Formats: sequence, C-alpha cells, structure tokens
Amino acid sequence: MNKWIKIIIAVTVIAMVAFIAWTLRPSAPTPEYKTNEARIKSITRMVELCTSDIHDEMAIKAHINGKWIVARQTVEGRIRFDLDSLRIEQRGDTTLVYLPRERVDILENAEPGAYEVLDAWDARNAVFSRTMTAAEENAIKSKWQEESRKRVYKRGYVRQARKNAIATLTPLLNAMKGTDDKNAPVIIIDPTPDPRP
Amino acid sequence: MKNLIGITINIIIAIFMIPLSGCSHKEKDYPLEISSQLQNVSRLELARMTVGKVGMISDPEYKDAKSIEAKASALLNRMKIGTRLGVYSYDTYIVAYLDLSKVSSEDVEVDTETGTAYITLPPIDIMTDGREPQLHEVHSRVTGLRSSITPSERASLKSQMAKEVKKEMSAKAGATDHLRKAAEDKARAYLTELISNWGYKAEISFK
Repeated sequence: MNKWIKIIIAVTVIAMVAFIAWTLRPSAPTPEYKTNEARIKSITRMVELCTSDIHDEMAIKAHINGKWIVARQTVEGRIRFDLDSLRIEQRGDTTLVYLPRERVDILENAEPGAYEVLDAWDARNAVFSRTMTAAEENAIKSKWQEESRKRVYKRGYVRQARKNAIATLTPLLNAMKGTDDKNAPVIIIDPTPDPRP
Repeated sequence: MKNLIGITINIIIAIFMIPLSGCSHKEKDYPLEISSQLQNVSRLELARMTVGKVGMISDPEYKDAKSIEAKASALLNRMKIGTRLGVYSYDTYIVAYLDLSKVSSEDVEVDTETGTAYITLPPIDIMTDGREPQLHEVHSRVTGLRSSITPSERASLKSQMAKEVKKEMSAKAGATDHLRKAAEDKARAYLTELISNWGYKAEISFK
C-alpha cells in the first residue's frame, strides 16, 4: 500500500477515535442561565410586631446520603409577635394585654451573593461520583434553618425580644388609651418570660 | 499468563479502592458562625408581598450565543449526546411597616370629652425581609451522557435571580405603592378596632 494512503487512514482513525471519546465524555460546559420576570404572587395583610433582627454569616459543612457540601450563607432572623391575636382583658378600669407567643423566622439574605457553594463531593463513590440533588440540598438547608432557630433561643435572643416587645407596646397602648391620673393603665403581661423552641 | 491477568485485576481494584479508603472515617456536620449581629428594632409590620422568580439552567444553545467563542462552544455542545435542563424557583418577601421608634407622645392625642383618639403615624417604609433558603426544582431533565446540575450551578443561578428580582422590583413602583396602600389600610383598621376597646373612635392620619 502506498505510504501516503496509510498515513491518511491512520490520521482518519485517530480523528474518529478522538471524536467518539469527546462525544461520550460527560459534559459540563459553562451553563446558560435564563430567568423569567419576577411575579407578585400575593400581598398579605397582618399586624406583627418585630422587635429583633438577627444577621448571621455562616460557614456550613453538612452531608446527606454520603454526599457532602461546604457553603457560606448569610442568614436573616426575625422575632415577631402576631398582634392580631392579642388577648385583651378589662379588670375594672385596668386593661390587661397578654403578649402572644413569638414566631422566629429564619430566611436567607436576599442579596445576590448570600449563598455560595465552596465545595461539594460524594464521599461514597470517588470514581463514579453522584451529584447532590436539589431535594437533598433543600433538606440540608431546612436542617440548618431549624438549627439556627434553636440557636436564637439558646442565646437568649427570644427572651430579650419579649422584653423589647413589652417596652415598645406599654407606652404606645397607654398613650392610645389616654392613661392619666384618672384613667387606669394598660399592663402588658408576659405569660412565657422564659420561652423555649 | 493467568498470573499476569490476576496482577492486572488486583492493580485496577487497588487504584479504585485508594480514593474510597480515605472516606471511610466518619465526619460530622458543623455550622460555623463567622459573625452574628443582633439589633433591637420596633417595626409594626402590616403587609407582606411574596415575589416569585423562575430560572433555568441549560447547556449553551447556538441561537443564544453572542460571541464567536460562545457560538463555537454551543456548536460543539450540540454534537454531544443527551439533554441538560433544570428549572428552579424561589420566593422573596418584601414587608411594609411602621417604624414605631418614630412615633412620639405628641403623635397620639386623646380627647376624652369627644371620645376621639387622634393618631398621626409615620410614613410606611418598605424593606426586603429575605428569601426562601430552598431552591425548588420545578423541572429537571438530564439525559444521555450529560452531567447532573451541581449545587454550585444552582447557587450561581439563584444569585443571578436575586440580582434581577432587586432590579425588577425597584422598577415596579406600582407594586410597592400597592403594598404601601395595603399596609395603611391595615393600620387604620387595626388601630380603630384596638382603640374601640376603650370606647374611643379613632382619627388616624399619616405624616
């Protein structure tokens, strides 16, 4: 066979093998992100007194089903009281107001860089490694949320928030009632001064 | 010959086992707090807006490519087997509130003779409360030999979506006006009812 024909066949075979290998390789090119315009889903009316804002920067390492993630997250915590469910009692001229149970909301900061994944890997399969799914990542995030909520109680933030709520509501409600020498005051009562999660 | 095959198989198994053996020890989860700030506030929150945003992750497409490099990448990508697509959503919360620290004793006046309480409230403020930590998977289709969508890619998508939510909501002045109006109505209704407990009628105005 002619020398040149052999070279052409060899080059063609190498090119075909390279093309097949490239095609079969799992792909992860730079992804494309597309978004729809933000949509207003609802507007809810309520009366809630928020007396504490908590701003935490967290570094988290967690695992689920043998898959690990290391991330940084900015968390916003709020301690709120639903004033629509205030229990008000009249005892003679005196008004007794019972402070309702608090609600501790833990959200992610809404700024663009508030959640960043630093590393993610599969500890069970180093060769054919599995990727953490959105559902698994959400389960981890729900666990972090719950832990953040418990930490807010453990640090005494809720106890402080209840005191703040009484300090805010007492002068406001007394002013609205027109409390003076003739008019009996409004007294705010805290039924759970040592709250637990 | 048999020995040679046996040795080769053992070497292959050993190569596969080395990385796995490093993962056998048990590690624990840890949340590490970098910083924590507690701030005392006195916000009377009266209306909350839920804003939904949907975003999609996919491999690059030729029609969307702008640069020559992107077009080349999209063209090569088209030759690969399978589809790679993920659609996700999350909610952002915006709150309308009254800052009670701006209410002074002069803003509340009770006339016992006419049985009227005059209350002047500060203007309604708007703030972004936060967003859902979870990113909900609306749809996902990864087929053939395409890679699964990674947590890093989802985090990048969420970051881009957050940037757009911020921009789009600041452009929608009508939406925040509507939220502000809902908060004012709620404040009027609530305080009127509260004050009626003491037999007064309320005259509520905003600064």
